[in-house]
Amino acid sequence: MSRHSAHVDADVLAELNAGLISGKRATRIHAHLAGCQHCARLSAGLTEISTLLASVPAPAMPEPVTRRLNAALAQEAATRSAPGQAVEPPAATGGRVLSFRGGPKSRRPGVASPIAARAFAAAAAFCVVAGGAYAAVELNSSGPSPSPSGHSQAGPAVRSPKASGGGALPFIGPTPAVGGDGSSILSFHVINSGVDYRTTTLSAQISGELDQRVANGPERSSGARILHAPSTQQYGCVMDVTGDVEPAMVDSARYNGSPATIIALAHVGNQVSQAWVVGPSCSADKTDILAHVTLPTAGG
Amino acid sequence: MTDSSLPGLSDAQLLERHLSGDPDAFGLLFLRHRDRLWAVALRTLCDPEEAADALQEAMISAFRRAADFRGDAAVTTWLHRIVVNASLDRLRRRAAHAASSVGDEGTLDLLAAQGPAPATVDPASRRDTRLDVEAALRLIPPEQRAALVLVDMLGYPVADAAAVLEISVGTVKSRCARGRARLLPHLEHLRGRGPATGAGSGHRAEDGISRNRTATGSVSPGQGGDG
Repeated sequence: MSRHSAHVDADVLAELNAGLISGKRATRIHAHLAGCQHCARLSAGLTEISTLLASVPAPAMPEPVTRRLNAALAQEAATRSAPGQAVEPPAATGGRVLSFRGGPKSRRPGVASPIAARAFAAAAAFCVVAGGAYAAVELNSSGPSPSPSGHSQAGPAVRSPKASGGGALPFIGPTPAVGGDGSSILSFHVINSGVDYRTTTLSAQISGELDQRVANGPERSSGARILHAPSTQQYGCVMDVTGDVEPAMVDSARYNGSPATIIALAHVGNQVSQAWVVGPSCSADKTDILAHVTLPTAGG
Repeated sequence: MTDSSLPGLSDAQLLERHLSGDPDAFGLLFLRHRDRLWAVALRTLCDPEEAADALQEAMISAFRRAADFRGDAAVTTWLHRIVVNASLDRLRRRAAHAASSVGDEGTLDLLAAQGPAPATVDPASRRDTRLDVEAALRLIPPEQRAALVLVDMLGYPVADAAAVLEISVGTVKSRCARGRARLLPHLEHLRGRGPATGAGSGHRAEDGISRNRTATGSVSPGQGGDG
């Protein structure tokens, strides 16, 4: 290749820079570069791309994500100690992870959802592009990291859930799980019971499902039910609906024939408990409550 | 209560403790490497919610499949591999909705061409370099992006990136080269602007690009090791 030949393709120059081209071909390209300003500039630009990429700071994991994953792993550890657990296994494809059950995504791909905006309010810089406009949130994750099992459960306490769904009953139940940094950590699984809950029988159906869970153990699912970790959206939804109280049951099922999630709190002593039915778009910022019921006390 | 001796253990020892039933060992392993794993997932997926879901998927899979780890690579390499696979799989599933009859590479190329969201780089703007870089990354095929994230952005040696991606060193170099060539038109306006604002991740190698082309060894864990 002489200095008078056609310009060198950017791919070829990039491969040359990466050491993928050698011998006579490399010699010819170098000779061309010596006499071609255009290609020399292109080659220098390719090298600068690497420098540019290296200059972008690596984001630290936002604290909400750390807490969520800590909770998920703590749940896994608890589940492991309960043999016979019907937990959905990861896809069996060697070492590869090929499937993950996530919650329904109401947002458009690539567009920051309300949950993302909330969960990552203190998040690292990330690339979210919506309608041509850039949105970035800077990370401020100076808080202490909770330990893998760094949450505690306490006894009953009076608490008003953020979303009472019209029930407006003073809620008495377990206090929120609180991490070492004072923030809430919920640890729960989502089940797919396959039940189609109905308006007229909602309370009885939920109580029945809760009773089954009690009979089978708090962390055991019955029959062919599958447990899986909540998606970001589900996690935010449950936190918002229950007011950061750990639920006794989260069932991704149906309500009057349509997809819905049932979120139920545990009974504490003889106190009334409650449950919500939320739609598929439920998230941290939009609870999407379809129904709310109080649940009879055990034996009552 | 967490065993006070755990923090002093190497990654491999933590994994052994996990396999022997220690409930806290894997959580500590995750905490030890969470920032780098997060960076890989976030940069590859370009979506924090997707990245969080992929990372949770990956960590739960690693938790359950720890017995599959055979020690032929560093624990961190193994963890990175699971995270990268989970991230790329998410992109493939996203792409499958767009084109069901195209092969993997083709599908990912198509996805990159379509983009998960409008992603253009306006040379006339004076946006932060970092945002321009992140937007441009969305425009290249995810396989090339993953290689560039590991090698150029996180500073891993090519050999380590090859181990993470389970491809040859030559293929890593080729994907990086082609990725750089694809990025150039979108980032040319940044030439000469210098490092991105706030540059310096704190745990990236300080030397230049050549660090990636010759160095070998395990993926730097930041803290802890594979002892």
